[in-house]
Amino acid sequence: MHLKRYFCAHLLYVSMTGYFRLVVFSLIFMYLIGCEPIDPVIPNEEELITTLEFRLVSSDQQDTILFSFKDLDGDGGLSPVIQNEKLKVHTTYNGMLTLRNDAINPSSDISMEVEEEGNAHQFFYVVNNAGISVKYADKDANGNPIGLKTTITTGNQATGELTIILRHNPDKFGSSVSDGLIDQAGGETDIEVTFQIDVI
Amino acid sequence: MSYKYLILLWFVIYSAVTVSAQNCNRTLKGRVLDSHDKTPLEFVSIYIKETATSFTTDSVGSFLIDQLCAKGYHISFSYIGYENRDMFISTVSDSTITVLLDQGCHVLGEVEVTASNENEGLQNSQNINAQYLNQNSNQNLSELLQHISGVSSIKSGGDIGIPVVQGMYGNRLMIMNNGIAQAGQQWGLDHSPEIDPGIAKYIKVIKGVAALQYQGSSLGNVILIDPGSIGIEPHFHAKINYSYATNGRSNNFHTELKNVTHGIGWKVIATLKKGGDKRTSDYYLTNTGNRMENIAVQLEKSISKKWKNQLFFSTFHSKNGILRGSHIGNISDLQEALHRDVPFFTASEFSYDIDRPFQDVRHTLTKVTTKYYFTDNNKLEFNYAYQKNIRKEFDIRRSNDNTNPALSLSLDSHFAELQYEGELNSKATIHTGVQFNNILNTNIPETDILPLIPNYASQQLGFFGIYKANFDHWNYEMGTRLEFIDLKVATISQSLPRIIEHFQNTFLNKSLSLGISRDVVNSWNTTLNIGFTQRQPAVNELYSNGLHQGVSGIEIGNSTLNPEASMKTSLTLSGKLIEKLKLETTVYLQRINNYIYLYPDSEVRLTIRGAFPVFRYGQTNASIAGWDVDLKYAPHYRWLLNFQSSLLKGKDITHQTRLIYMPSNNGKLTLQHIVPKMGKIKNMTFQLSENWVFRQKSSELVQDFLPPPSGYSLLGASISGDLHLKSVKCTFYLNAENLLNTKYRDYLNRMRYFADDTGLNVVIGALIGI
Repeated sequence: MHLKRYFCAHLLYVSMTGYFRLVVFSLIFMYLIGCEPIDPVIPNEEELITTLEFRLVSSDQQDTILFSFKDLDGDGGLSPVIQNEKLKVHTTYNGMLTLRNDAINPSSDISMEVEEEGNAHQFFYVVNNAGISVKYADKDANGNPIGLKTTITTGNQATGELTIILRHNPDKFGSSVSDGLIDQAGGETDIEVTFQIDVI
Repeated sequence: MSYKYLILLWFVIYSAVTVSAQNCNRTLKGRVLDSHDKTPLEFVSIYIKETATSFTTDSVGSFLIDQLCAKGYHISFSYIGYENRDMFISTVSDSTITVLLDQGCHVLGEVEVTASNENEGLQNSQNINAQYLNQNSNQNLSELLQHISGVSSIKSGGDIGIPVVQGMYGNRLMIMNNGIAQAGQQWGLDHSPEIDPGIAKYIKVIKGVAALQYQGSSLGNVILIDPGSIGIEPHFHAKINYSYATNGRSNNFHTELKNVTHGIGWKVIATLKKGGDKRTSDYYLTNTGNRMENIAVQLEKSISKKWKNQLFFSTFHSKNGILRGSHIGNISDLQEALHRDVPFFTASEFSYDIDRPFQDVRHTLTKVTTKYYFTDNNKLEFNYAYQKNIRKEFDIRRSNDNTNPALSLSLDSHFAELQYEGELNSKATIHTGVQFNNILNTNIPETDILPLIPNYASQQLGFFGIYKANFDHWNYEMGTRLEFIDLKVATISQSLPRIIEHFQNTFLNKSLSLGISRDVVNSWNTTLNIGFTQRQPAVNELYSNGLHQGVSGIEIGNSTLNPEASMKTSLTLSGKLIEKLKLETTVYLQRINNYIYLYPDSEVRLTIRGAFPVFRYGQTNASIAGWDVDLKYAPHYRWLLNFQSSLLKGKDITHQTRLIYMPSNNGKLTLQHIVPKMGKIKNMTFQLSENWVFRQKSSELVQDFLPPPSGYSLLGASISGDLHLKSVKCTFYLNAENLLNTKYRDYLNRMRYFADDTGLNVVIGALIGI
């Protein structure tokens, strides 16, 4: 308060001394302002998806196969850990996708959230040379597929790839989108993971 | 508008009209000359507001007005190709005046502006005058600046654009808002300067080689936005400007009130803008609406004849939508978007709504200036400025319920400077100063995302000295600047577990400049400038780390970068080629060692959203060579033909490639016809213009997603006129841009990857001034 009164008094004091005092006080004020950066708050990366698990159970319940993709540091430099298992020829599997954020404690299940916002999400399964077919086994409120649950049928022996894509805000009524064709879907990609598929 | 305000307005008009006549035998004599080469101007229209009478100058530029009363008159001078000049002239006794009109290449605004305005010495500068600002009030700062040859704009769709001057932009171009370096988040290509151009009396672009008296990180070029001085004229003046633009259906409102009461000069400026989705020739650009509000207050008080003070405050807010179809999740989304004719999410209906993605930006500036004049030509000046910048960017989030911004930054800047400007002797002057700046940048923890830019504190201490001398017809200028920068950073580690890491960088920038000019001899003026400047790496170049949504890549800073060092030579020639044909041309060559750029790394980073390219900040040697031309031909006082062109080539010398985001070669031809009097309308102006932009030579496709688009040309037209009703002056204007609704894409518009550029736009507006 004293400084302030002094400052104002000198604004009205018409002389060179007054002018210089004004300048000097302002410069001192500048130096009093902090010069250290504020430590950032480490964010709770709630929206991060670190883990995708694609679990296949054969229709006779005899076989359980797990594909997984795990990348704990998100966009960071750490390479993801990818796990593949082999499929059997001419077999039908029930597929179940799980998404998790394992970077926070406790880890959160994101598949629930996707299911709740089913109208705004859809998984696409793009098969390359593996000779398998993937059919949707779930529906959102409008009767369109979400793709968390699927039915997979294998064919002859083959080696190829399966790319699992999650689109946010796709046009779910677009041409052939509900059949699993991604071309007319649009929207933003939240997940795009490719697994090697061996059918033996 | 309140009731009280209406009464005030009525009172002012009434009192202006009912001035009693007495002692009306004074005469006012004068001459009107070109400010540059002092040639007399014939057929200049002179209008006296109080008597509503018009005059013109004779063949030697002279005029004589008699039967004036012993008081003061508001007189305006206008002439084709020149900036209008409004003056308040006291006629207590018979007087003789000389009026200089300016073509806009060199600044010579109102008398008091020139006196207080920092002179740019021998650096080449061009300005945008109040007339152009008024009649294009719908445009943002970078759109307005494109009117000057050698200035372009990098756009990000909608109303977002950053200016490019002779190939320099972002961290390399300084924008001075009322004498203070704009402190915002200039590192982003999609971060518009947080300035309402409406506050400006004029906007000046210095196409220089070294900006020695300005604190900041420029490599020569500077943009000055100057609200001007209020002056000492003790009358109330008000200006109301409204315009409507058909493309985007935008409403733009601007008002300015000023007076000098009880020895205190005051000015209040307010701007409001609201626009919706813009439109290409074929479809709406969904979610490209914008909002802008700005209020500025300026106060001036002279404590004595020697001590003058000014206070300036402005608060700015903008909200800009970003084309919905340009938001992408990963590189396959981008590839898909690149190959579409019409972007995803294009709505069939127009809308004013702004949804995510959008930017919300606030900026306040508080500035105190105090000047002490020892004599008319020796003064000490002290400035203090505080700026606060808050930027929030809202993206499409994975969860529709998440309403948090994806980027949220708060920046505080304190700046203080002490300058002395004075005469050493009758032929030499010195300008010297010391400047201190403290910037604190903090991420607001509400994003749930790892920040791209770290928290930092930066302190800069600068010193400069400029010596000027003139002998016979030669002017010399020498200057130097030293700047010490201390940058302290607190960032979050990329590795797990996440920890806070601290870093520090210090830099010393050294700059030198030398200028020689030869005064008008046979109506030709020649200026040669050579400058060496350094620029410290900006915080994003040193420490950014993470996914940059806009470029669909991972950007990694390099904390070991060295300052850039630029050597620029520029030669300007201006004068008359033949009678009535004027030329102003500048050639420049700039060599930048340690040019900081983003290069694609061989690493491709696999994430759960697929593989992303990795870009790292590196350094190379670059050169930029260019040629700006401005040619004016006025065969008759009613006709003006203007040709402007700028050519530029930016090269990476080390890798023998082109620099990315360099302006394309372009040219513009404008034909203007003025009718001084058409019925009751004065200064009726018709203008037709054609603008050519040539195809940019391709930079390598590893740095860019698509080759440069084809060249294009756009036709424009405008009509304007003045109507005087008693003491009220009404200017109406009609501008049409892209008259033929041409479908095109511009190399510097980053939306060109996704959509066409904007189609036909017609702007209609009126300006009322008292």
